[in-house]
Amino acid sequence: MFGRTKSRRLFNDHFLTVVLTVAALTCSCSRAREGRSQETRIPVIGVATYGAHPILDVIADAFKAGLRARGYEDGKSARILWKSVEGDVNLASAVARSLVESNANVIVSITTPVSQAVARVARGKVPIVFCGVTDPIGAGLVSSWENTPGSGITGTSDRWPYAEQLDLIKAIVPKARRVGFPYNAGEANSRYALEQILPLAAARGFEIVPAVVTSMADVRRAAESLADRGVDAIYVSSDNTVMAGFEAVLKVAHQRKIPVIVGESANVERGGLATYSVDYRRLGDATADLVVRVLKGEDPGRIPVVTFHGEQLYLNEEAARRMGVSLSPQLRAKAFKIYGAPAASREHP
Amino acid sequence: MADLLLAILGVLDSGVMQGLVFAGLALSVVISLLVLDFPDLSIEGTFPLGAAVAAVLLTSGEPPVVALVAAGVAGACGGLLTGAVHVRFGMSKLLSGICTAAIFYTLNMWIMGGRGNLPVLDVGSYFTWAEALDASLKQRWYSSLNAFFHPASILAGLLVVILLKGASDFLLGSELGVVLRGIGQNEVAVRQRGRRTGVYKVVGLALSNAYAGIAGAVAAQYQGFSDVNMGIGVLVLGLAGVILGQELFARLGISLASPQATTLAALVGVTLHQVILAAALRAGTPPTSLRLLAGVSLVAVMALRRRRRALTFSW
Repeated sequence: MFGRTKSRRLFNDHFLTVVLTVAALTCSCSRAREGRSQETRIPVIGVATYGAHPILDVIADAFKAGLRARGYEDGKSARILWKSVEGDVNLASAVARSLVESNANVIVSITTPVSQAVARVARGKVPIVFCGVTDPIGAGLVSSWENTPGSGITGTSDRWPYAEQLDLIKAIVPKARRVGFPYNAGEANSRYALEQILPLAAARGFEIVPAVVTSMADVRRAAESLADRGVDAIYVSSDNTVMAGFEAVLKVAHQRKIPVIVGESANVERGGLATYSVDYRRLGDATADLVVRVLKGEDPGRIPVVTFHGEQLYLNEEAARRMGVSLSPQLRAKAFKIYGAPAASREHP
Repeated sequence: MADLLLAILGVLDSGVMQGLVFAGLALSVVISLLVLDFPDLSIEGTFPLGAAVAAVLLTSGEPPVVALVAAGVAGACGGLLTGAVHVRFGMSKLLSGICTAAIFYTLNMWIMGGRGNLPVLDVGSYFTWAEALDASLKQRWYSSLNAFFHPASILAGLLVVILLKGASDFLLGSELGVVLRGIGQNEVAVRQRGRRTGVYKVVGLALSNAYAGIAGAVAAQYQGFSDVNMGIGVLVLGLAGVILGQELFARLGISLASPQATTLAALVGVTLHQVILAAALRAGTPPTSLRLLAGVSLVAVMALRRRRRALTFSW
């Protein structure tokens, strides 16, 4: 209050004006851009995503490539509005709204909470194609895998080939009885995975030994506790927390000679032993296919939710050596891809 | 020009709506941090707690008002825990909040039936009637306009916020509020005047977390889901709003020397913060720069703040 210069007072007094002007200007820029895209009448594809994540990035690249392959190139024959909540699910509604207001012709929503917020804001206004939702029925997005006409929403699910993956444990470690399952109980997809796995495992004579993590910092401890409890194998699902600290699981697995079966090919490349994998590139491509069908006027409610079955076997030779297991010739013959030595960064002292 | 106006209206509508949804968080931070001088991290657990309680009640067919009240009560229980641990066992302020947030992370999943996420999509929510009204308003008055504003929804949100603000103004202006404020400024002095400061602290934290719980319930109904991870970052969200509002009021020369002004500043701040975010989203900034923008805008405010003498509150 005391001794302020006039200019500073002026600046301070006009702080709100400055903020609002900046906001207004940014709006007007975007508005001007949209005006152009409407004149040329190219479709606007809005994408609401969760943020940077190895699997989500693979999906995103495949999605863009899939659109290009079907004649929708960003900036030429279509406009892709890519918006991210950057890990904060409380922003999802605002992101969804900004896409509706940008006159998107279709909205692609990636991950479960983002899809729910998009469905809440945009259902009935703009067709929605969700992507990477493990359990779309439990998430309240669709009422059945077959979908219902008029629902205005369809999508792709990354429901994993759990049965094939459990059979793989049997094939690699025939004696296996106790299977460790580290997961974050706070992740809807992991919870769903566990529910699916328990009966399948019981049918195969496995006992699932769960180990709960709440953050990346717990992963190593969880893996060690599983080793201490004498598991014959560790099975890692699509859990984002465990995947973030996956190297800690590998380190324990190498020390204690426990095979680690993963759920997805990128993690075999990263040092996991083996998997039957959903190919996330195909997931992204299938999402692009749905978007194009919706843009061409198909009713999303008449398109069943797309799921995948694991046809592709991935193995990692180096992981087998370090985890003290041998891969049979039959298994090798079936493999779609065998990774050799992992990257140098995976070396543990 | 008309398009630009409509775009600005859309941004304001979206930002104000988000601001009203998170208003409870700002009031919660006012009570815990500004009044009690207690940096309370437990709202990262009680915000999703309120969402979880509301989601479970709504999906089992309870009316939205019951869900909101129950979420407030649940949040208050979370605050009681933080306060009890802090007062009874002498655990530090930060640590007791961290403990509560951690405990409720698990409890929230139990409440949602062992799941981390519960949809609130096809059940009647607090906003259902307002949205229906908005839809019919649009149909009748401006269906030809490419406009996005939701006056009924905003009124519905405003109604909750007015009730919350009224309650907090009344409580903070009462003797309870004066004692809480006293504890925040000089706990020893209050104790020497024969007040049991421990009990008051617990009550204050329960109140603060009740607001966080109600905010969670509103957010779940507005966003269409309750997710166990939705608590991450809400303290920062509330705090940013409170600071922004105070800064703004100080700059506009509005006195903050009353509970009414302080809570109003917090509400204006959280709304302004959300409007900035909505404008940034609408403007089509690259998808990875949103947080950068939000962070820079807050740093700018804080940097300006240093040039002023410290703000004082005295009521």
